[in-house]
Amino acid sequence: MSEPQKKITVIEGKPVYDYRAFYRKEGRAKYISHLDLYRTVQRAFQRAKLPVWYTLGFNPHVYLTYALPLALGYEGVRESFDFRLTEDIPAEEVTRRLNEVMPEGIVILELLPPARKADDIERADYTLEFSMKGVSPEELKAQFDRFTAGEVIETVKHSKKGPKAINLKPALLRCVSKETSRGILLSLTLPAGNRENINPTLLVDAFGKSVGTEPDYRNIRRDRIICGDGSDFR
Amino acid sequence: MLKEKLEPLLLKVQKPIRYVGGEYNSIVKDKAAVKTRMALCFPDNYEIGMSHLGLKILYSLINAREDCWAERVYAPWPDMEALMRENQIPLYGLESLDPLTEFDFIGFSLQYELSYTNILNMLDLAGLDPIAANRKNDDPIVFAGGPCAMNGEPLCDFIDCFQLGEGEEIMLEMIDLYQKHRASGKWDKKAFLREAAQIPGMYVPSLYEVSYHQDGTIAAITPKDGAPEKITKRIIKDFDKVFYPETFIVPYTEVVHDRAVLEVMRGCIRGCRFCQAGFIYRPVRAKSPDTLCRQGKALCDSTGYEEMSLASLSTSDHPQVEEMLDKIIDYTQEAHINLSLPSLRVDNFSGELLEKVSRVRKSGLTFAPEAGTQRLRDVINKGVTEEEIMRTSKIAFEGGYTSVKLYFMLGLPFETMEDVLGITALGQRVVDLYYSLPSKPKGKGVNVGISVATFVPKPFTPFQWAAQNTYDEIVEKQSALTHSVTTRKISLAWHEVRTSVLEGVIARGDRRLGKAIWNAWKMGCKFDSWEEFFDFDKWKQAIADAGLTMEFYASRERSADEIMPWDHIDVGVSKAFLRREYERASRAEVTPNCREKCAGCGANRLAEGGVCRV
Repeated sequence: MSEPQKKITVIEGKPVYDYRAFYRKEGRAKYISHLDLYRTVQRAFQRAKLPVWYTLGFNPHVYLTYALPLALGYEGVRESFDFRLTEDIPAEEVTRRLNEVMPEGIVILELLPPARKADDIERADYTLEFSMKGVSPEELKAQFDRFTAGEVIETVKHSKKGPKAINLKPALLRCVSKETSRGILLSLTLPAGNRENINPTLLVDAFGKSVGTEPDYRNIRRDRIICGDGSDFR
Repeated sequence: MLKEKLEPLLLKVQKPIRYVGGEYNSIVKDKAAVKTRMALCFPDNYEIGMSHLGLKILYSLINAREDCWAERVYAPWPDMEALMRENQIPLYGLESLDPLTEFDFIGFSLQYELSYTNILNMLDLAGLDPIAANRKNDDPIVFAGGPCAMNGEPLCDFIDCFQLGEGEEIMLEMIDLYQKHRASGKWDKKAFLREAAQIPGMYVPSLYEVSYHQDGTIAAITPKDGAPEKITKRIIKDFDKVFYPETFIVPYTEVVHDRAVLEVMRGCIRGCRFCQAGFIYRPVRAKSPDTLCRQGKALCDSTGYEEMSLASLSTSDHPQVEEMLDKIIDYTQEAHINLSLPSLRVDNFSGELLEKVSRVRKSGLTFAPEAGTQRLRDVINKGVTEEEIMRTSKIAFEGGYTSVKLYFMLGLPFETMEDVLGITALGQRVVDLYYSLPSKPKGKGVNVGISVATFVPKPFTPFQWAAQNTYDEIVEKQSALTHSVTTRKISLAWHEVRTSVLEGVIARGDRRLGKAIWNAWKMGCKFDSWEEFFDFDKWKQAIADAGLTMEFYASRERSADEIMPWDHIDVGVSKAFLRREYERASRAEVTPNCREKCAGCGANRLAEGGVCRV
């Protein structure tokens, strides 16, 4: 395979090399919050001694942006962040040097020049397993299916602007449930991105409220981030 | 492994990252391949515990041994604790997620008296009996160290043994002895403790009997089973060569001190009479500039930290301070690392030094005159004059600083209302100084922040005999202070007084207070240093139920010949020296610092060849 085209930006007369890192976040690392992840990656750059580009201005900091932040407690199969280097270093070498100094549970899969814009993201696939104390998997599936079969699924979404009542029904682009040994496993497609973002735990928490029991989450994973045209975000 | 049971709980608590471990540089070993497992516990939350340098040193030191595995344990926040109890999850080590009952040793760092109930709570959460005498032969050894261990008496009911002084050597000696006893095939905890008491610096409280007079003061402290009459604290003689971590664990979440830390010095030459650290860490020892540079570079490289700080009781007293700062600042500037320099003193803060410091940061500037008048500063032997404060403030203002923080204490021995009002008067003169300067920063006002703590008399200080001010006395002084502020350029702040009263009770407590700590914990007291959890009424009840009074411990002047609960502990400085210093304090007589003139404190006995290198 040929090396993908490099993306080079010229800032103040100097070339900087744009990269999008695709990574896996799993195991204990899923409890790293988005804010903490920023610091974690920044320190990994320091340890790897990579010539990472700093923002200009009064308070220079490592340029690091995430197209679609991952919620606390979620694993991610192919997440991404963008950064810049001030020197031309082969992508494979950067990947290797970063992985050597990453904490447990964060693995860089590959580095590519950014192709799509964050605004292109429209939806995402999730897998989620949960159980409820005192409810058998069979019963749980029946209750959950009944809950999602309704015409309207009302819940409250908390955002920076405060609580807001929303209907989740139109957001359920895909929702398949399956019994497991200890609970149920959901496969979901939900709106994602800058315009509308619905996390799967919002749905399951709403279900929990409707039956009066807190769900015990076992695994929550984002499997795929998808653009409006149906292609993977890359 | 508790992982399966933990997982469903973690999204129900605040900051689950506190409870999962896995941070970069944390050490995971094969438990089948190690002989001894050590839980290093800090009786406060993750953010505070992860900031503590002493535990970082011990963690690396123990893990450097192939046959040992040290893990970290912090007090779970009450939301997590409730879920753990509800779901029968015992307290566990962050590296292995194994319950503490599987460990050989459980060690606690004692930094603050108000964390003691958390020790009981953590032992209980681990499924262990907090009372040492009730624990079984095969239960882990529970030990403690740190500054508060110098008077560990209030914890004697709960702790099997205390390590006194610096831990780098005694820790390994304790482990060696333990392994020898285990290898013999006949494990007897009592026999181990009896032999451990022979390790210099090891205090096994169950081997000492304390008897009391009718009035509640101590009649005698008697050792048994061959335990030494005096236990002398440990120090590292060659401090420049002492083990220091090549790396720190890098937490994911922000902790209180989230940076590379260099330990510049141990001990302090100053002898401020209120300061326990100034006496218990003597004799003073410093690391060479080259050692510090090497260690700082190793830490920054291996952690990715972009901030480094220098830790000591008084960094500007380093014997080669200029050379040290030059070398360190050269490195940090080249490597784009921010350097922070706490513990700088006013009196030797030269213009040159200030210039160096301001090359690295321009935030606030902090001074600790501690007392408002020269007379009271002489009483406490804080050799800072007003002229020096003014001179340094002037340099700072002319260098572009617009805010100064001044730290004071209320309730110092021999304090009068004139001294109290002297605090705001000094603040006012700093404000006036700013406006008198033609070269002050243009168009900017000044802010003088005055922060006032309540003085707590501590063991092993010249004020160990003194009565602490009562709550009412402190409140009266605070009110006088508030009324004396006439400008918005001065902001006054203080902490909760009641916590200082309780701190005073426990700091100079004896063994009988163990019952009170137990009672308080039983009534639900924990995280007492956190305002939202501190419950003074419960503590009053707990102390009364133990048949004791706060006044006996806190607000009572001791006589010169009273046996102190900690008199069988030798920290280097002698009781006779401390008494001399107390008497000098009563006459407001200053004692020169160790570099100017040896005051004969006695700590030189611990130093290499019996001579301090100041």
